[in-house]
Amino acid sequence: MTTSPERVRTGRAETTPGGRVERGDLLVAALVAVTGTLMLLATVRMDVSSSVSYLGPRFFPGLVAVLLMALGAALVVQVLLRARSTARDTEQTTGEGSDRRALGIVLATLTAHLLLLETAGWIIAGALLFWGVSYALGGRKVLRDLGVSFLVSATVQLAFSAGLGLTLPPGVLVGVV
Amino acid sequence: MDTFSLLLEGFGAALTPMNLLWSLVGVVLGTIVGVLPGLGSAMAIALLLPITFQLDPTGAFIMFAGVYFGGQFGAATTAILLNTPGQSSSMATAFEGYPMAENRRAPQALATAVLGSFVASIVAVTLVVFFSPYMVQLAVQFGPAEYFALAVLAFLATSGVVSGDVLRGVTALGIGLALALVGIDEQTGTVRFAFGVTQLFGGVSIVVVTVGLLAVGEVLHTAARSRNGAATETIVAGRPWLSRRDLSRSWRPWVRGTALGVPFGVIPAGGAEIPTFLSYAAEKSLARRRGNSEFGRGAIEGVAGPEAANNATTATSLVPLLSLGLPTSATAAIMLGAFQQYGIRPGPLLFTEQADLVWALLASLFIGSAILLVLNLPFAPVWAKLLRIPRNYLYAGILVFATLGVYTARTSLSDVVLLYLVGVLGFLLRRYGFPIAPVLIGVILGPLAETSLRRAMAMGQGDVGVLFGSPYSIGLYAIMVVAVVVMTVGRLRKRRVAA
Repeated sequence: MTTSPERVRTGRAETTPGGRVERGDLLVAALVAVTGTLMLLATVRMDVSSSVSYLGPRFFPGLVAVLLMALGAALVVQVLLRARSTARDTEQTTGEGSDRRALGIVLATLTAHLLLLETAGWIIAGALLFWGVSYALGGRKVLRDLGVSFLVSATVQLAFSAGLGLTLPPGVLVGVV
Repeated sequence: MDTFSLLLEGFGAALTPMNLLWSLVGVVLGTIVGVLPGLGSAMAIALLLPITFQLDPTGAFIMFAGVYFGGQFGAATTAILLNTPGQSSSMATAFEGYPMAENRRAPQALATAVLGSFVASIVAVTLVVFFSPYMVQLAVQFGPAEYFALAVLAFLATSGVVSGDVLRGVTALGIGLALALVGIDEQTGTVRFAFGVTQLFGGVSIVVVTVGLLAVGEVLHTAARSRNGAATETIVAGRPWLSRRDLSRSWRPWVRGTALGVPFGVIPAGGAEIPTFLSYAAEKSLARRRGNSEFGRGAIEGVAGPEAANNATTATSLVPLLSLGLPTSATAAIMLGAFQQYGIRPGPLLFTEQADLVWALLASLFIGSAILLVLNLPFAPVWAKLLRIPRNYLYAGILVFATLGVYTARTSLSDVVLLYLVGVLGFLLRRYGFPIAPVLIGVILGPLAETSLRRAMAMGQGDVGVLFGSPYSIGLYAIMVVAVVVMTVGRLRKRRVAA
């Protein structure tokens, strides 16, 4: 989500969550409304074979779409109303300021895993997944972490293919495994 | 007294040393498979099905019962320890179980789950033994209109009661309903919201949504907060065993959960999710009324109730399975397949034609739940030691197992892509204070609600009155109206006090 670091440090964050969180709230509310609108458009343009039933395949999606649009609008109103009154219960919505770097590393790890899973194989992709998340969460003993990662992914491979008979992609290590 | 002597005969057939060994093996294997996220008791039975075919029918059923109870417990274990339920019926357990684990009360959460499951299973199986003919009659009364009413009740209960903020709760429900709509419409074959992506034609699997929202979402959420304190420290497990106070707080939720779960197993309404969420909602609002609610911070009632409801439902789901051949849960569906392998044809005649097998099966359910209790109650603190793993390894492990569970379920990379996308959605919901439970309920019950609504309307030839045509559906709607009125009055009163 878009955040401006200056806003966080202005000290307003202590009394009210500051403009930062509310902007995120607003964005999420808008996202809900937009999802509803897109759904409604897709529902209208849906390819429906001529059916005889009383409620066709469009009825329920249309209902949900309209519901989401209304809810999105209501959420926007709620955010705006709450922005006006200072006393609000922000227990859940005030994140303590998110660590975008750690989040970014995890997301990058997930992407890399998806790219590697069926090309490089489970042992490498799984180890990378483990190591990436561990690193993002503050694991800094790189060598030990790498060792643990490969141990985990290799053990899992062994347990799943030998024990349960489920297949995992062998990838480049196809001859070895 | 006839029933009783038949049951004793069943015990006679089931209680041989060899069969006890099979039961033990089943419980252990079931727990191990159940602990893997995404692989619940249904998956445990499915994976171990080939092994049981080596045995005679009685031995196989006993092992089934063991695998089933073990899987059930394993799923609850990961829900509590890792916020990663092994199956959708353990989702409600995670909501309070995981905060309990974070507050060093993991062994207590596990213990109340085991004991609650035991109590519920014993009660429910006893009811099945003595009352199954009457329960069958109730099940036959339920048509599409009643199922629709049930689904709406569950929607209201989760989005209104479970979450404090009704607007956010209903929004979460709407998101879940939207997710469930993706894929080919079962009744007409219309492709909906797939946007030309063939992998989406089959819809978004419940396993993907559950694991994505809870496990992947949790890992992302933890990563996003990791600046505020190193995430490498370990969670301390705390003192094992239930205190007298925990017990006195647990037994009423066990009883209420069992009472909620029993009727839901009989009616084929999509498994144990509704009663677990209803039990969670009931315990939460009861706690709120008592005034010292710990909900949100790890309330033992929120673990005890849903776990009891879950096991009660699954035990009574044997009623439609055995007497109508109608599976009401994933587990029951796999068991039906197993029955057919042994040439057993479930139906009204089963109780007379193959009585010895039926009673051996019922007896083995008692034995299985007893063995689970003996085996896992002492081990609850041992399982809780999982939390001693450094947190960066723990979360990395969660993500690895979540990915693995989803990938191996269908050997499909696109499922993993979906898993991560749903994980991002789960993160956003968490970050902006939306509750997760209504999303899951929407995904699971959305299809049931839509299908039964459309069937009911087709049967009524477009007449809306058909939805209120039976005493059951009128009763369900009456409950909803009363609940909404009570809730609104309560909120207004609170607002007036606050003002």
